[in-house]
Amino acid sequence: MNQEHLLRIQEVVSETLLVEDITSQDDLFELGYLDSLSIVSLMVAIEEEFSISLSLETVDLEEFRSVESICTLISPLIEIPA
Amino acid sequence: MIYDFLREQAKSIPEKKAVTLDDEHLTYGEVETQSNKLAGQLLNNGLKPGGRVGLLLEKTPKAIIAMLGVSKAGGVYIPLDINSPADRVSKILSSSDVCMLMVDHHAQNLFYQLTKSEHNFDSISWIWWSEESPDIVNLSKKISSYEELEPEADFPHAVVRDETSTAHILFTSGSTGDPKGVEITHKNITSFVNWAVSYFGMHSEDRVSCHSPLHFDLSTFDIYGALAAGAHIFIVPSGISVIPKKLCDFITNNRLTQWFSVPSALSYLARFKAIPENGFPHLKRLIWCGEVFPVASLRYWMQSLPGVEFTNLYGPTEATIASSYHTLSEIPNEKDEVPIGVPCDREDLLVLDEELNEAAAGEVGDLYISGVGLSPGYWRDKDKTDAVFKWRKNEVGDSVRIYKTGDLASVDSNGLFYCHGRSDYQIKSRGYRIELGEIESALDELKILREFAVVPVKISGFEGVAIGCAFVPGEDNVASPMHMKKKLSEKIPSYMFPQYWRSFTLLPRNGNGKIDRKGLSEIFEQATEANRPTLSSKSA
Repeated sequence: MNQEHLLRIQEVVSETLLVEDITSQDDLFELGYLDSLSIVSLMVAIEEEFSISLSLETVDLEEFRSVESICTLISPLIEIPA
Repeated sequence: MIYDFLREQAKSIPEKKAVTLDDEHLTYGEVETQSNKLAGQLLNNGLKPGGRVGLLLEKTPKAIIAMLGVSKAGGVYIPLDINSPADRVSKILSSSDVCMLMVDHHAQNLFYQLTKSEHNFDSISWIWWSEESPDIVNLSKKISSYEELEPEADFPHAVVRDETSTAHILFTSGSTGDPKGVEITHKNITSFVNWAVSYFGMHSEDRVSCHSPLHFDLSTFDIYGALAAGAHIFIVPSGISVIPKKLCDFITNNRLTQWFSVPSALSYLARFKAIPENGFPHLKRLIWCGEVFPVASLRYWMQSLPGVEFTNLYGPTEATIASSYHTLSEIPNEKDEVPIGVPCDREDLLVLDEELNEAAAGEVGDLYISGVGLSPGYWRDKDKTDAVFKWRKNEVGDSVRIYKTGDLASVDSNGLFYCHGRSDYQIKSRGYRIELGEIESALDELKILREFAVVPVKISGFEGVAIGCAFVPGEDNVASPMHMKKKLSEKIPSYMFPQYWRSFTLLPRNGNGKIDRKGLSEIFEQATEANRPTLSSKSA
């Protein structure tokens, strides 16, 4: 797992959901941080941060369960500069 | 009485399943027997007619038994939001003067905090209402438990037979910071349920959702409507609503015939275009209540489910579940407004001006409700009750009790009612009824900000209304939104947290010196529009 991506995601999650002290494995659903409104804001914020595009119709929201799983989801979408 | 629905079905169809949550099923006979036994247990422990029992329970089959057991024993149950902070729950428990609590393992942390709070709930009698053992609370102080139910006699208790007695008290957001308790009588509930079961043609083959929390009155209809019809209730497990596919699988796999929820749950699925290709083959009716169903998502639902009947219900808690209905005969156009419809049986809707005269057709005025759904008022709060429950002389000179909803409405020449938003600071966000004043009083108690205003923020597209907080930081300057959110979580439930924060040196004001709330809403709305890239355009 790309440590730099992980840290950037952690920061986006923290800023979007307004929560401090989250770890990369915290279950964002279980902790009650994600609901129907905040999950969409988080998707937008992740898209912007990494200049990627997520499709609402195909994305598996289970992948938003933790910082780590978000990282797994988006890593293949991020272009690595040559 | 609300427990008579169950009692009659238990006589005729005792073996039929009444309620399911995951792998837990209870038949009509089991619900009847267990609630009889619980009533006995409560009476043995001194519950008196009209005594309040607080339910610190997750939405489970056992919670339904608790509601019915308390009713049979002549008590009044108060379903509490176990996800609310202890501070708020303790305000409710104190003001409702509960004599007993029922607690399960989902609520034990909250219960533990309550026993440690200044209000000293340590002395309140409580029942451990779970098969699991607690890890935090000390069981030795309880008066009884679910495990002790078995030896109790299966006697059909019916202590109170007065239909006008209070069945439950539902607490809702209060603008001054203290939640207010709406008293609901047995007759309020049975009147609506009888109308609804007959209007929707519900019967014992129906399989109905229970999506709303127990402290919302949508669930009152889910539960008592199903019991009246001999239908099967499927409790939607907490946590699956946020994953569209799981919620769709739930509807499909349980072969639900009826879905009832706030529109935001449905808009969310629409946003992800989550309805399976072949729809929900067993679904017969889809009912929503509590806020406006955005037409774009309603159209998606109606187009995806051509055989389903779509009904909009309207009505505040104070008038019990719903007071008017409108079943759509065809898919509305994008620009159409969906009416809140016509009054249910023995209810009336009135659009009145300030002198309580009826407005002409098409004219916007204050929406009032009268009829069988009206609550006796707010629990032990005559001032608040008198402020909105009034008397008015009708055309033939009779005095009729009316309730001022706070909604603005008009009625067209065909007698169809339309809602036009609020005349005050109450909003609906994701189905939750929120007084912005309650958030402001929580911020006030925190004493971190010099000045602030909490305003509604309309988001285009699917989500409806969000909450914005404009503020001037205090002197010690610790006012980061993150910090504020953490502090607020000790005061108000998470669905009341503002999603948007903006710091000002001075808050903008009107000519008369008041904070320009409308202007602030617009500032927030423009900012969110500007920040609205790819996702919204794709889902449009």
